Amino acid sequence: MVATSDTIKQVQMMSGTYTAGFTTDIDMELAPMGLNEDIIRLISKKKEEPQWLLDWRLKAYRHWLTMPEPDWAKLKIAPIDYQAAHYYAAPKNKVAPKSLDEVDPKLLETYEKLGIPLKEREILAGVAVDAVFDSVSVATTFKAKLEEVGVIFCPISEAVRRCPDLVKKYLGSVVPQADNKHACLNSAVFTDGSFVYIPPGVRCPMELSTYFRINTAKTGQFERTLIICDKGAYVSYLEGCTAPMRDENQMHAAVVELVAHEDAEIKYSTVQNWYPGDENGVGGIYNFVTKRGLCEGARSRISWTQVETGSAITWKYPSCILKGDGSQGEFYSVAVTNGHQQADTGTKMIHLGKNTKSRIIAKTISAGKSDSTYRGMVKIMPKASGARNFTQCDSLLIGDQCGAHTVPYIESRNASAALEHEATTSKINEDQLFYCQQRGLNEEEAVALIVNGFCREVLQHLPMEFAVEAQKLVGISLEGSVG
Amino acid sequence: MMTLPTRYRPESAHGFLQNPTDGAQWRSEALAQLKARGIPSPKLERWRYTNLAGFEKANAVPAQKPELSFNPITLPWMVQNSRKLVFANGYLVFGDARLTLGGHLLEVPYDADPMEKFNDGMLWALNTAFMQDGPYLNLHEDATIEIIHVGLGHDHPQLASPRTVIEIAAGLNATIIEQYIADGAGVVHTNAALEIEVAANANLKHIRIQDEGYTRTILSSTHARIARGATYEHSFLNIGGALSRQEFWMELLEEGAHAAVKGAQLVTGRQHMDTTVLIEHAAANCTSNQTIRNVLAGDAVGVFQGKIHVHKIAQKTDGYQLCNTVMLSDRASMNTKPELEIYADDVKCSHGNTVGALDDAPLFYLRSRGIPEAEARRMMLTAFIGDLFDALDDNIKDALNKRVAQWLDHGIV
Repeated sequence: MVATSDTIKQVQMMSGTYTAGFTTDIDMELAPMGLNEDIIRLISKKKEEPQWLLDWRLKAYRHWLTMPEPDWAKLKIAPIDYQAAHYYAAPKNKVAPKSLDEVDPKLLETYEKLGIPLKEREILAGVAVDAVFDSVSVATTFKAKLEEVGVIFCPISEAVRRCPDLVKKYLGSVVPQADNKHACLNSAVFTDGSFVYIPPGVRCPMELSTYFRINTAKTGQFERTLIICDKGAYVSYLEGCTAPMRDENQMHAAVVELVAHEDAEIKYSTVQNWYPGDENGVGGIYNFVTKRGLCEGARSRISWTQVETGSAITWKYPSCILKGDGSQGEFYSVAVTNGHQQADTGTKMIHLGKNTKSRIIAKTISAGKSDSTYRGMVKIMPKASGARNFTQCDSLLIGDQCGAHTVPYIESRNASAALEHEATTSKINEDQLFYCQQRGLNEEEAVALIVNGFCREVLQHLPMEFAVEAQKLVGISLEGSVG
Repeated sequence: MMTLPTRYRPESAHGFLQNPTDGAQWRSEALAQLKARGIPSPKLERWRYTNLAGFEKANAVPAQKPELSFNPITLPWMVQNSRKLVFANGYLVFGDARLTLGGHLLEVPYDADPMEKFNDGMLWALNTAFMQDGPYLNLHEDATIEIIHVGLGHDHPQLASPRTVIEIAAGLNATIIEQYIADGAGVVHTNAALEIEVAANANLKHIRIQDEGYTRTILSSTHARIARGATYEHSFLNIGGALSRQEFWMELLEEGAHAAVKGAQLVTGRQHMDTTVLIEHAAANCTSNQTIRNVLAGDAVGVFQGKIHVHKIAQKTDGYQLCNTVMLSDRASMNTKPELEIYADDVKCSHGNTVGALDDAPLFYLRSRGIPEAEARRMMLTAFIGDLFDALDDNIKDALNKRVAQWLDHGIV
């Protein structure tokens, strides 16, 4: 129980609420405010992109103009003014840095504050990091070591130059441009993100990681991540996010595409801690993310693990398309909402191949005046004989001002498929609370402890470093929710 | 607020059924609403699995009062000394006219369209615009009432729009059995609307068998309001209809109220069958239970959408929902959406859902004991529907189980 006592200590230590809410004062290069074809051309030019990519972006932009806002989620979203943001923001600083020493020390300081092991500590942690600051990748560590085994891990803008064929082949292959309005906007204006290619039979020697931070006011972040795991390869990828406190709503519309070939395995973990807005619900990040994995080859495996504690609004459904026979999809999620946060999150498991398996464990915790919804779909197509699904959704309500909802869609078109779904909603057990308090924990600590126990099934699927951070986050996010 | 007649009071002087084409304002208002919004389409969230395009295209005309070609006594009544009513295509053809809407003077409504709330109240409006007659059961003593709706087929599709109003006074026990059956080969679609009010500590058992023709569209909307300490238990067996959908909206309005929906959908051929339930816990200490079993064969499509909505005030709610489906055919499909919407923290709500084929292990066991495969499958399916109707009176339970057995016999297994 080291981790749980750690949580309590952490909760005690943190008297403020949002600890990643500082800004870093760095000269930024901003694109003019607004969104039009010229802005997209500017982004493309800044990134020194080939013509095909510019055309691809413009096509997405033109389609985006015709698309309606998705309105089916159980969210109250104030109308978004897409013209009131800068779609490109980069730290103003010479040309691309060649090594970490050339990176603006202020930036490094920022990441230091966030606790990402960017420098020497990286060796101890064994994590290779691609850090994205507003619109551009600032540093990618461990590049050389990864290249030894043939792993390509670089900003996507660099990948466009280095391995255009791969990017061209896979970009938009899992999440089509016209998938939804937010993904379409991302396709038009995405500025950076990570690109990972694991060659056949390679087990990526370390955890890959990206850290996202929105720093500049009136900017959005539109990163695009593309991970391709070739035959028999394995990669574990971590993603973390923070943003400074501001009284405006900033937009984060990311797209993540995963492709797993035969026998490949991708493990994708997210700890999302965007700024959730203040106690009156002012400000905060709109987190509209489209994440989808394609289990292309037989026996491939994709696993999503997410801890969602931040953002004013979360609209996110990491999904798996189980195309290869015997492929497996997993989704483990903890969503914590407090204050005026709203979260509508879940997954889609589309079973196409024979003997495909999926497993969904979703834990939802609502406190304060927040609303959180699990929305998930399991779809068995006629050819998916022998498909299996297990879904479990548990919600925990803290206080009587919040809401917790479960909206599963279960569609089976094959008689040999077996689907199980169960969901429960409850509050924190009085007996457990009493027991903890009787042992000397105060109410807040006791709640954090119980909630961490409630999420345990999911948290244990996170890589070690993230699991500790996630436990702390869950505790911190619930501060002020009791009493 | 629309002023559609969704809730009636008999003491008013304004009659509407004496002259069905009376051009009453509420009728034209309902019609206008219907024209403005059309028939529900799968674009609406609550209609995503059911498409009424075929029903709309059929261009049915409001049903006329038909001639009966059989003796009502020969109908499959279940309880010997019950009060009996027979409606054919929505018109009373047998029974006490005092128990029907047509036998009463009705007042202008006080309530807005109950289905308005979900943005898909078109079927309710459709019923309001064309309703002819229906049971009006304002009960002040314990009673068992049987209602049989006969759909008499026609060459050109007709639409029957029966409206049922049930009011159970405080402390009573009542049983109401509704059957929808077919007569003749032609087409008559049904779009029923039911308003049910159960007063404090009353107890209503409502049983519905939908055994209509396999070429027809059978729709129903049921709105029940349940008062303090009262219970409303609905049991259904759905067998018929090319396309059928039954919608329930149950409101638990005061403390201690209880609502239950238990039933089976047996679907085969190219049938499409939909059960959509919303239970609203609007008061503390209420309980609800939904138990749905589906058996799908052939190219059938089954739908179950169930939602438990717990209001902020409804602490100590106990809501339960279970939906099990057995698929007997590779071409069948099942869509389920069990939903929880919860705003109170001290509640116990859960739902479970399973979809799958018959389990191989027990099948093998039975066969190893010398039971032929078809018989073994039959036994397992009988057990699967099994305890659904156990709480009902013996003669009702037996009638329902017999109907299930018949369905299983007819080449399903």
